Amino acid sequence: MTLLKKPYVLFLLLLMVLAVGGDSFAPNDPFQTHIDQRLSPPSVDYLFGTDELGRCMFSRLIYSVRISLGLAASILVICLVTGTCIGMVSGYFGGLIDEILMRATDMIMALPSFIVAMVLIGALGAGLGNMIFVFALTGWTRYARLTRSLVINIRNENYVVTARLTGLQSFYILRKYILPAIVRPLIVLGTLGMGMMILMTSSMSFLGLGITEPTPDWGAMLSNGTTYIRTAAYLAIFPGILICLTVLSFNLLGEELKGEKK
Amino acid sequence: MKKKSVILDVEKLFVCFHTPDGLVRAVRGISFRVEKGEVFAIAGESGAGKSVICRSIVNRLEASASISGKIRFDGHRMLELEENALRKIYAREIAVLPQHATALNPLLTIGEHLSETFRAHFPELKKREIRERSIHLLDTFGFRDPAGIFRTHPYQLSGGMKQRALLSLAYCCDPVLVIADEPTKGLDPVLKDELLETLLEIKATRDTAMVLITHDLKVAHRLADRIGIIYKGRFMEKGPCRQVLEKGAHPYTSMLINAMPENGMAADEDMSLPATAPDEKNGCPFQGRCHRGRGETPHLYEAKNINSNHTVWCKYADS
Repeated sequence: MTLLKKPYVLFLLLLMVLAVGGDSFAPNDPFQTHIDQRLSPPSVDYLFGTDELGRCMFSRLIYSVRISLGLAASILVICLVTGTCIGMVSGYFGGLIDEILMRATDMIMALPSFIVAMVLIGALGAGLGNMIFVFALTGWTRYARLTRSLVINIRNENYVVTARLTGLQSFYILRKYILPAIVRPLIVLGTLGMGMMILMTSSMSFLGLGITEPTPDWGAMLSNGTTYIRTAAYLAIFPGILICLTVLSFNLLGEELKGEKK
Repeated sequence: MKKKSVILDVEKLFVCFHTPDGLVRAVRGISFRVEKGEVFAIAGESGAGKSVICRSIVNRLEASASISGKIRFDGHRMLELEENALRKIYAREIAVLPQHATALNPLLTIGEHLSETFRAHFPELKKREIRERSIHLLDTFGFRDPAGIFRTHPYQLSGGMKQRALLSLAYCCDPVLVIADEPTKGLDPVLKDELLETLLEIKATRDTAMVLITHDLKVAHRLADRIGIIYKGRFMEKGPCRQVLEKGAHPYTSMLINAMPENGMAADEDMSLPATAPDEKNGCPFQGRCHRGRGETPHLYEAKNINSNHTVWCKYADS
């Protein structure tokens, strides 16, 4: 369990606890406005100060962990599941199915995913559900590609060939023989992808197209903070640091998992 | 004598592969029959087409292969069957004994391997029955602690035990025909003997036919009833195993026998000869390496019957 000694793992575990525990850890109500104490600098009462409506920044940051991480994680899970299924079917069966699925993947990969997401959000309107939808729509392709290439390697392994010769169903072989063999690289890519997803969703919120007020979100808070960058820089600094640390931690964890294989 | 029913009937099997380097003719007109409970060995050097024959029987050749001929197994035309029909035949009627212990999924226990095969072919069986059957099967294949083996993963077993687990997997649904593609390849002499004993025991107790692909003539000699010696995708000699191996009529057969480790591994007398003989369409494929026919004008590849079931494809053999 050397993994548990790494600071970034501990930080990620802390984030998980905050995401689950959420508002019960927050010292103040993240939605309660204190109009008389707006834009007050960090103090004992308000650890990270207050925003322009006098809401406790510390509490809002803690509360937003659930939103930001949850959003990124749900997009990632959808992408991973879709991508893995498509990649496995494509790699295992090959032939025409492979051709059709991979050309579809190529088409989606050719689109600039962030622009597509912006356009779709513009058309559908902002919100959690729409965010998940537009990012999942383009995000699964890299997982499908990776899965396909892994499956093609595994497919000709002696034990898979033998399994086919004992009359097992294809989907059974995919589930019991192929999936367990490819799950590890997928976890690595998924961990690395988590950092990217957080950045993408935060950017979207930063542009005002993602999560909207009053729900706190890292990107939205950062964006909000930039307005007061001259008078109350901490409004932008704290969410910025949080995004930065989280993405960094996920990337480091991904690298660590990747290296451990050897 | 000819009472026994024919299980597998391979008739004029031709297999070609379209490769970037041109057409490769792997199997050129092979015909043989395997009767119920009989062991038919196919022997020959590497690249003679042994494995291709074995894969055509189970209809598992690559898409780049073109096949002609007929393979009849128990009333099925194997080459015309669809994937779903084939799946029902595999293991239940034709089982393939893979050559390497890597044929076991490293993530599944031996018990899971057996259970999944049982489940695939006998969906009506209950979990407890499957377990009982599997343990009984492992017991008959000489495992001392079958219940324990049922729970072990492949990596916990020795090479010989893995090989025996594969054997029990091949015989688990009591197939009519087992195709063993070089079962003794890569095993050390002790394990090889052990496996051979087990195979002989199976042969004595079960009425399962077997196509044995091998280049170990010793194994073929002890196990097989009949043998076909192939070279360049064609039969050189075919007949009762003892007769062929002890009183071989074809120069290639004696060459193979001389090349065995026990006989001093005396390979080709003249190593400088090209291993690939000129591909005359109907000419004897072996002529280029034959000590008798080497210098002569190419002659035809034709069969001569030594007796009713011993055939040799050699011009010089005495009939």
